Amino acid sequence: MKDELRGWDPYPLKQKGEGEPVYWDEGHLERRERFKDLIRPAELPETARGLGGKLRRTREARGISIAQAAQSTFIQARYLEAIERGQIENLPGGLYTRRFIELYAQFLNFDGRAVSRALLPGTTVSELIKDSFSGVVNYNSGRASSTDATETKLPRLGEVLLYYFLSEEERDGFIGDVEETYSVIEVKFGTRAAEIFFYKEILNSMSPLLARFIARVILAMLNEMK
Amino acid sequence: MSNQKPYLGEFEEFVLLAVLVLGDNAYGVSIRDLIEQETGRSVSFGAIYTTLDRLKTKGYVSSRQGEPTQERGGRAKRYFKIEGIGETALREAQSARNRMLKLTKLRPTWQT
Repeated sequence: MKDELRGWDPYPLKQKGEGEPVYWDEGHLERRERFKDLIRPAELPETARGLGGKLRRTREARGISIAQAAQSTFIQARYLEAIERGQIENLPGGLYTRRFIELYAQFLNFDGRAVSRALLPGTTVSELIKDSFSGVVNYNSGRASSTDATETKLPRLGEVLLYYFLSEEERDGFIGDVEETYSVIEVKFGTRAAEIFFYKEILNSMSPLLARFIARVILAMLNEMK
Repeated sequence: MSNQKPYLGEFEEFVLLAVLVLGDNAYGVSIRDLIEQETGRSVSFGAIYTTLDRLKTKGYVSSRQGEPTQERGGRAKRYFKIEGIGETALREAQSARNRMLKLTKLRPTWQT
């Protein structure tokens, strides 16, 4: 991204100099949504830009091209470029954003976890779950390869189902429990192990939750028949 | 449930025992850790929560919301507590098992 493009927004939410947002016409918001990739944030967080630049300089100092880095890390070149520019919003979202940053930082001998923490402060399991709702579009367009797809399709589905199959009352307790175990494993065995736990946990939790859901549906149907 | 004899499934029994053992500290993580430690099976939170849900419907346990903590992403714990009828069900299940064990040549492990 060229720096002169910074702050460029073809579909601004409000006209300059006026307090109230003014939409140009009815289709404005829809177009804004459709072309949101074109919108450049006016300011990036200092840490994101600074850290990204640091990664880029380190890579260049070692004489590694983006293409070579992409080959070694199995991360698409455009994502690596996005990390170097600090454009976190261009990454595929969810666990992938964090994992990509970590892998790339580790590839350049940085502390992967520290870098991802700095770039994505406060990424937690609940956010990952939330992401699986909001980030679906982002995620599909950002799919890197076929192996990528098989790895993620199920857990994604699992997260969504998990959210719907838990009662309001259970949700905090359940997700909090997963979160707590996640952080314990992360401290003890690292992020990779914690992620594996997270996906395994969701897959294993699916069958009892699904069974309860089906039982409830059948019971409701029987009651209706009476 | 009043006109019916209390009934406990096998996993329900373990969960109920764990809730009883843990006392004031019975919530998802501690229940799971205890069961995994004592039985050697791996247990999912999904299984624990659906079981606790069933036990709650039967009136064997009650639950209350606890304090949210940092490591839990700011989410509150849900604590479980065993009720009197739950303890009765537990004792009933144990004695039924012991009666049937007596009919076989097997002895409870602590007697061999």
